[in-house]
Amino acid sequence: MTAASVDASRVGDAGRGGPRARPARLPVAERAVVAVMLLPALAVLVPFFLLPMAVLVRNSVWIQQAPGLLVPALSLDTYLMVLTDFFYLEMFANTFGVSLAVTVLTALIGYPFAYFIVRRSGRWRAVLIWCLYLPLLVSVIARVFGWIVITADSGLINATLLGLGLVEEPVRILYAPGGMLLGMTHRYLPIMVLPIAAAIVKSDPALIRASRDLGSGPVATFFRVELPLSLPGIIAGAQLVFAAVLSDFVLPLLLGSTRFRMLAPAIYDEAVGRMNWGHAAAIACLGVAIMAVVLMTSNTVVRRLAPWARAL
Amino acid sequence: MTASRSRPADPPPAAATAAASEAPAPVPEDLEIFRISKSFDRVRVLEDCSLRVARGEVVALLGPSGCGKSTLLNIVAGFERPDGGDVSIRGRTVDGDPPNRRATAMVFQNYALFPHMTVRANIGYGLAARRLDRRETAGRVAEALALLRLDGLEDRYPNELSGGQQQRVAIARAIATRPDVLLLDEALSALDKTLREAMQVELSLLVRRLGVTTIMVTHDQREAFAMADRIAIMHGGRILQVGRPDEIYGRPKTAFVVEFLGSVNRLPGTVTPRPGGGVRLAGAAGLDVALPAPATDTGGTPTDPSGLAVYLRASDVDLASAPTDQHSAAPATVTLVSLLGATRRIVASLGDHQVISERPDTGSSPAPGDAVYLAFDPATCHVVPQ
Repeated sequence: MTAASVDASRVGDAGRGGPRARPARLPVAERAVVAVMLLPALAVLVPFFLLPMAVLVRNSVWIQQAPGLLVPALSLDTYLMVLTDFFYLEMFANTFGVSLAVTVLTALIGYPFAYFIVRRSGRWRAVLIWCLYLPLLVSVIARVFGWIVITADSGLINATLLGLGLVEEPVRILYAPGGMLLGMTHRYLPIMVLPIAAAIVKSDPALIRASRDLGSGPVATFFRVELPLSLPGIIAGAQLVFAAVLSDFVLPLLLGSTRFRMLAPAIYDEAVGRMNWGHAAAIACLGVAIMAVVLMTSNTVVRRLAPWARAL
Repeated sequence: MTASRSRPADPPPAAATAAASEAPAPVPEDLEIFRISKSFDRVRVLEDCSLRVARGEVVALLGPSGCGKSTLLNIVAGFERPDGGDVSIRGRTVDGDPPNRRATAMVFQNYALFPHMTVRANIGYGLAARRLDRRETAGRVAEALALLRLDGLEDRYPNELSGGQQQRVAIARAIATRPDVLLLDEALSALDKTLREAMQVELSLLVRRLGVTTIMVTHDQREAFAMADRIAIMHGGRILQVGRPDEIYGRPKTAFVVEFLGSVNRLPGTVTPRPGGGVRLAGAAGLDVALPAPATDTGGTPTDPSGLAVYLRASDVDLASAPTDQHSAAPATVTLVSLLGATRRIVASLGDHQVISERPDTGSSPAPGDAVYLAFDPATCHVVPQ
């Protein structure tokens, strides 16, 4: 999946909400320097990103005649097949729903955490930021095994519930959407917290004083001043998390259920399991399209709700 | 705004220090600061500060950075809690009240305008917090916009305004709440000089027209003198002297106050008591002058004159080319001459000491190396405890 890379280039815009003023035309010599500076990036992006993307788009409009056999054509048949088949539509709905759920969960957990780190933690700040980064240094596979130990039928959670007599038999968490949500929320919490914390750091503490001075209590000050000012950070974090969950391959595979199909494993199944490259390509392209729509919509929302954010 | 609030007819109470606070005040007080102390991490930043401010009065807290003036303002606003002492607003102690329950409004140094709100919403913020109805809010916002000549900018965001306009919005936002006490925390210091001086005039007129009791914090002597009815000079966490600008300038009580208020010379020499009152300064280069008794709180002459210093403002020093009949004249040599706009600064050496004179420029002046005579009126000397 490539949605994450599309996202990375867009997320910076979320905070500003609009196109920046066009810079004045540079002299020839300086334009040459700019071109040279862009070369390394282009050298990587063109062969390893744009070219594969082009192949993907081509595969999605060619006709799949048999497993492993694509026939050159220009047809939307594959898309039609994918979009009219409940089997695929359910997979898209699952993926979209999980992406949304994890985005909301990480925002709900991440916002108070980011707020605490920035405003209240004092000398514990460094420790807390370490706690946030530390999981990123551990391989995702290692963390998945940790979650398996915790969520398995004989794992920590179920042992506790059974021991307390709260349940008669183990609750199914692992290899079900619930366990996958848990693992994803844990995995993507840092990329939600960091942009939010950055937005909170950027807002002037004098604004809180001004609000209190003008008669607002601490709660009203939070909802009328602090929360609106961190909105660009929340949107940026949400875009990152949404894209990451949408394209996540490992967690659905290791923590999820085969009966609850998700986008990335589905593409893998089509491409590798069934040699159905056309379907795989069409699903991938639709995934990118979903991501693009979500990003554009959220950027529009920011521009609407926070026109002031452009210059921040 | 409440233009009906009358300005006090009598001059405000002089030096409202702890000692003077026993005398009844002639006008109702809007603000009383009583024996405030405050430490941060065991560093004393305020010590026993007392101040009474009459209704409608403008008082400046003037002092160098780190003197505690902003901390005192923050204690009045409720942002900091004092270790000891009380703050009363309109006769009611507000020590337990958070900032949002105090009838104070502050104009912050960097304005602290809400970047996510338009000018209209910024000015209406304090009114919304007070749950005023929509029509009342709109009326008061319009009034504040008009008072600060901000009409037409209602729908702009702060980042679309110039520094001067942002300053006006910050003032409008504070006065729209009709505070009992308006607090200005270095409110004009972010503006450039020309704009700052224009705003000093405009703001002085505005607070007097509204009759709002105002405390302003500044490190700029000119700003304090230009705007305030009374000035409290602060240093090292203490209020050294409170008084009208002419009192502060004319009768400074301590060496710090004299030196802080600008270009002065400390006259070298030994101070001894003079029979019949006053003191005598026997200085370098034959300088020998009889001086009036120093200003003290009690009015008497200190028993130990050796703890006194004699200051003379540069504007009171005349460097004449011929000896004058003044007995305070002493020969000196010019070392440096410079023109400071309307005044000319002449530095002359008197023995081992440099004496600075700043007088209106007359067009002719001595050149470096010229012999001159230092002349001054002993009555213009300030004899203060050092």
